[in-house]
Amino acid sequence: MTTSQLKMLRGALLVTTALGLAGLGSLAAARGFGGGGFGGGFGGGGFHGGGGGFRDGGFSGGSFRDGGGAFGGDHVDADRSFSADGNVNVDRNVNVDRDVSVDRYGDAGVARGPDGSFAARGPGGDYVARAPDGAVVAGGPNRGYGYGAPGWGGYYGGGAVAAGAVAGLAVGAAVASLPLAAERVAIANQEYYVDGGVYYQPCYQGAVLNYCVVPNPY
Amino acid sequence: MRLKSNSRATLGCLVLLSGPMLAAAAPEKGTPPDPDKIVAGMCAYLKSLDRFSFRAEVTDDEVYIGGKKLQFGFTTETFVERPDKLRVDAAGDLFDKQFLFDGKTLTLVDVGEKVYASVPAPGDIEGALAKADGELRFRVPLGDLASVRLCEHLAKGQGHALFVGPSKVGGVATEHLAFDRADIQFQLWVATGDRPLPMKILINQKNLPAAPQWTAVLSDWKTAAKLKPDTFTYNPGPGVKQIKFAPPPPPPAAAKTPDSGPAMTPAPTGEKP
Repeated sequence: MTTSQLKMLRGALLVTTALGLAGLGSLAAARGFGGGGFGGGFGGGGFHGGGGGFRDGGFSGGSFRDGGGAFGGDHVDADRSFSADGNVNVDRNVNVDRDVSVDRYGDAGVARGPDGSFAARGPGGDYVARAPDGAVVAGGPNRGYGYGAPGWGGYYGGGAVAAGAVAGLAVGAAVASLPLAAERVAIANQEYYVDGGVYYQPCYQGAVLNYCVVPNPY
Repeated sequence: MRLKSNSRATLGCLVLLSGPMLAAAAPEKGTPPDPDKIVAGMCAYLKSLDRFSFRAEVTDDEVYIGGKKLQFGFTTETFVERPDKLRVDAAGDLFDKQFLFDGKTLTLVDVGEKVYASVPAPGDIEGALAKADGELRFRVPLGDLASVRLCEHLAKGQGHALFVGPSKVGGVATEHLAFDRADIQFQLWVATGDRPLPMKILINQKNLPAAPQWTAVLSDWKTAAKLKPDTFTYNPGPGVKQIKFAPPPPPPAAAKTPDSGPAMTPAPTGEKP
């Protein structure tokens, strides 16, 4: 079989199958014709569930379990304008806020939002794995040279809760970065970070290294 | 216009169909191979292997304000010894981590940050992956390939299945398949022949804003890998500290407290809070 025959075969199969699966509308983006398009043969529509992702830079992304790397469940009523035909339409919102400057140059593995700190993420990780965390991790040691996307901000970066700004973080809460004023102390052979009477220890939330608020060791 | 050209292509291809389809040993003239059968063959083959290893080049989309996306990458090396040993090293732009499971203990290592956490996890590989998923809230990249329940995970909630066509991945002849589920759309490129191994995997988070994609190109499959016994047991080096996994999150209803409210809201203006 020659290459061109293969291509033709592929096209034919795709089209015939697509005709069976979906309306004509999705043919426009059928792979092999549209070039790089999505949506070949899939009608989409009726999206529900999903969302609520693991926000760990993609570590958990390669899974076929429920949600495929995003925890299913409640939450993100994902942008309803999101195209139902499976096509990716990235730049729907043109007005990107340029004031959200995420510090990707830090050497501490910590990126900060406009308020100088980052997100106490709900332990459940209510959002996209790729949201604030992408920004957070991108500022880490592996990306310390200013590559990345200065000024882009995480998808939900503006909603981040400032670790230092939250009075009385409860034990069990976690923050992606320590308050700037946090000091490292050793108590009973254990290492803690303390700021304003709140004690932190590094912990995994999912696969993400965060700082958990722990009981006062004294 | 496109429809028109598609129709032309269809007609053209239909004329050609008889030849190529016979050559591809399709079950029925003019009928594409059944994607579900190909996947079942892949699952059965993987399941039949006592041990294997492979590498993967992974790219992952990170979504930013306005639906902008950046693609980051990492490389994985996976070692499997059935029934109860798995190791995945994953290092790239955003992290450098290892997952180890030796039949007794599950360990997640942050190589870059020199910390690790371990929990007891007696059982087989699927048990360890389920524990990580359900209790610890993380998943192991491509770990599902080592699970005896791979096909169950793949098929869950599956809707449409599509045989896209023949394709080459890294020079290996594969069959390109696509599947639609309620939660994700995924595509598989499964090697043709008597070793139906996955050569490429794409997961599209179609329900998430900007539909980020996670793509892995797999290579270096070794189905008779010689693995050292200590491959799967973690021995922390000097200076590596043990930490804990955070307690499991509250149930979803409780997560919707006012506290988590702000993080749920996209930042329309970037005004300082």
